[in-house]
Amino acid sequence: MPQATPLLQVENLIKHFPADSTRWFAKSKEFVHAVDGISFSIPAGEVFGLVGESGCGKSTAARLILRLIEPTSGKIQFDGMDWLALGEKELRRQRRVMQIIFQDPYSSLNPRMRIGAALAEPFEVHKVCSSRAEVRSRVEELLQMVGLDPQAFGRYPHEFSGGQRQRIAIARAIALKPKFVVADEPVSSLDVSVQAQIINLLADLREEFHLTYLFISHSLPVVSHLCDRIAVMYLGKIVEMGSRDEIFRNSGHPYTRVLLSAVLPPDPKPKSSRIVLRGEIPSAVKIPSGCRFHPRCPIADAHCAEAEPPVETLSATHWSACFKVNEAAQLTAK
Amino acid sequence: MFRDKIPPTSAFQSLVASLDFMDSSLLQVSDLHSVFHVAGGRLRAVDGVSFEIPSRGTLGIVGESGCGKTVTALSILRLLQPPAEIESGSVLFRARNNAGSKKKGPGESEDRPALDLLKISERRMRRIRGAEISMVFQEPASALNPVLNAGDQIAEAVRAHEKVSRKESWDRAVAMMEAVSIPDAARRAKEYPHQLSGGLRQRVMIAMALVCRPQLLIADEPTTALDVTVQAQILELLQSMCGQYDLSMLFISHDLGVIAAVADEVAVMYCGKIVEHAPVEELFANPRHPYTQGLLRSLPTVTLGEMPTRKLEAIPGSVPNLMNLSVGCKFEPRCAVRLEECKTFDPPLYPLGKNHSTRCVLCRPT
Repeated sequence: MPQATPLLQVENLIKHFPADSTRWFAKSKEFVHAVDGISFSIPAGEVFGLVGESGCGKSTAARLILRLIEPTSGKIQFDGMDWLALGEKELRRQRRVMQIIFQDPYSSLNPRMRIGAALAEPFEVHKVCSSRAEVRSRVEELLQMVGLDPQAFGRYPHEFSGGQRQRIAIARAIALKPKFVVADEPVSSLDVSVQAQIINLLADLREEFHLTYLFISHSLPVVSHLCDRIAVMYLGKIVEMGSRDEIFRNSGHPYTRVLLSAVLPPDPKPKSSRIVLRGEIPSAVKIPSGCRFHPRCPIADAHCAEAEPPVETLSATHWSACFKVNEAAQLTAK
Repeated sequence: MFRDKIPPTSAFQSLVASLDFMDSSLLQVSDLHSVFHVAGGRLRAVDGVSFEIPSRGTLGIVGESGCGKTVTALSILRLLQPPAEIESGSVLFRARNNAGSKKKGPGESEDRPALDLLKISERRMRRIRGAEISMVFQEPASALNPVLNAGDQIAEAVRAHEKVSRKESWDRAVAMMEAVSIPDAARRAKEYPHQLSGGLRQRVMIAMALVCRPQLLIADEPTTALDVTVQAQILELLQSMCGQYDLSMLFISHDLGVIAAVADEVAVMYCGKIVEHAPVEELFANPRHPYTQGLLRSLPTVTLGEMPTRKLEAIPGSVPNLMNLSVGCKFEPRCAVRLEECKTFDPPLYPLGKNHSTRCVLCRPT
């Protein structure tokens, strides 16, 4: 599935937000290190998962890639273009190939807009249809594609359930046949029985349109069903990246191991097999020294607090930023 | 005013119920109906729910949003606000004789009278809330008072139930914060909710709930708003608190994984009814209701070292509107194994042995 030329290439992307925004004109001295130098590339046709807890910078990364916010520094290559060098007009034209699905379908749809109008908007903005009748037929086609009644275009968002709304949001994202879709926690606000429907819909659409996804989630089980490759983020940095099998079978970073063991299987038997971390994700203003995971890490020692760990290559597709990769790989809940 | 709305027959019903109210159980809910008065009629949010919570046990209620699990919890505490109202039913609770005193030995439990919480006065009910039954809510950020510091909020709970000085109640609050493993509790007690992280806020909530040593803790989605690593911490804390304080727990969650980890018994709710009830091992090993089976199959799961599957088996459709439910089985429109009679026949809970019962015609004893 993955091809040699990456569709999206992100290099050392950094976004620092000023932390003392209450003072208007004063130069900020403190910064929130939301995204602190991340690099990855996504080949066309791949589903790339970005996993981490709240506040780790995964949604900021998504917004940077879409250029909804501008990065502090870094490089983004998209489809052969220097994505960050595009002017506003050109960006607007190119945006049709890159779309986003947001987490909360209750706030991402305009409550006063009939869904037919909401879905017609992409066609109108990019002037791809010659007549209103054509727009109408494209909207009906879209509704059908995401499993909704094509006759539903005259209804308002509040008339739909959460799962149906997320289908509408997905329809809007795929309206212009994009190459690349960013899905930012697309199922986390949905009920369990509906989550599976949406995951399956995203999988079907991927096959049908040869889509490339950047799939962002806090949940490893959700990511596992869709993604080919997975990157785990902690406090603005990617700590481990590998293929789906490598991350789940032999992950080499203690944080990934902890995330995996925190997943509660629907099985009452192994009640005590959890690695429970101390503390919570620290403030992104004062990043811990050395390895940023060391204050919570179950296997950290004095060295981890001093130097930033190098990238340890575990295979051609798998690396981990940890001094103690071997020890981490042994880390299991007993 | 509340009591007038209960039909006269329920007095007899609760008497009957109290006869088989087992010594081992702390709380018994029978045939609870709670409704919302909305334009166009009554919305049956809780439609005939019965269960028992054993002393020192945990009952898990699992279901999707809108299935009535939270309304059930609020009904037990009589916290429903108009337009919601308890229509009928009984909630028998084995209260301590003297709320707030030291806990009694297990041998004394038999001669404690069972109170029907739906019939006692509001004044009496206030002595139960917080002191005998307390609740932890889903969103600690909105459940805590933003203009009071953490210690004051906990101390307030102590003073609401016991005649103690401000100083003593503050000390009790700090001690309780230490008991729920809040580091540097004396300093943290002076901080306001916005200065605390999500995990610490939930610990403050738990400290507040437990400071008067209740017998029953109702935890309504206590970890849903938290990160997975923090969720693991809070679950561990709740379980250790249950052991330490002889607590019974009613644990509400939409997450089957969380329920599997904490519950001893599980009730699965759908459209205001319990559709399956079983001990936790039995429920996960041998689910009998098509809805429970569907939920378990549609769950994205993975464990360390195991490979996930590609395609999930979803339950088609979505939860129906409670206003226009069919007369038959409420799950029938989404059910993969429905029969013709399911359209018109709403089955009762059929016992299957081993404390297991399910509301499905396929399990009807022949």
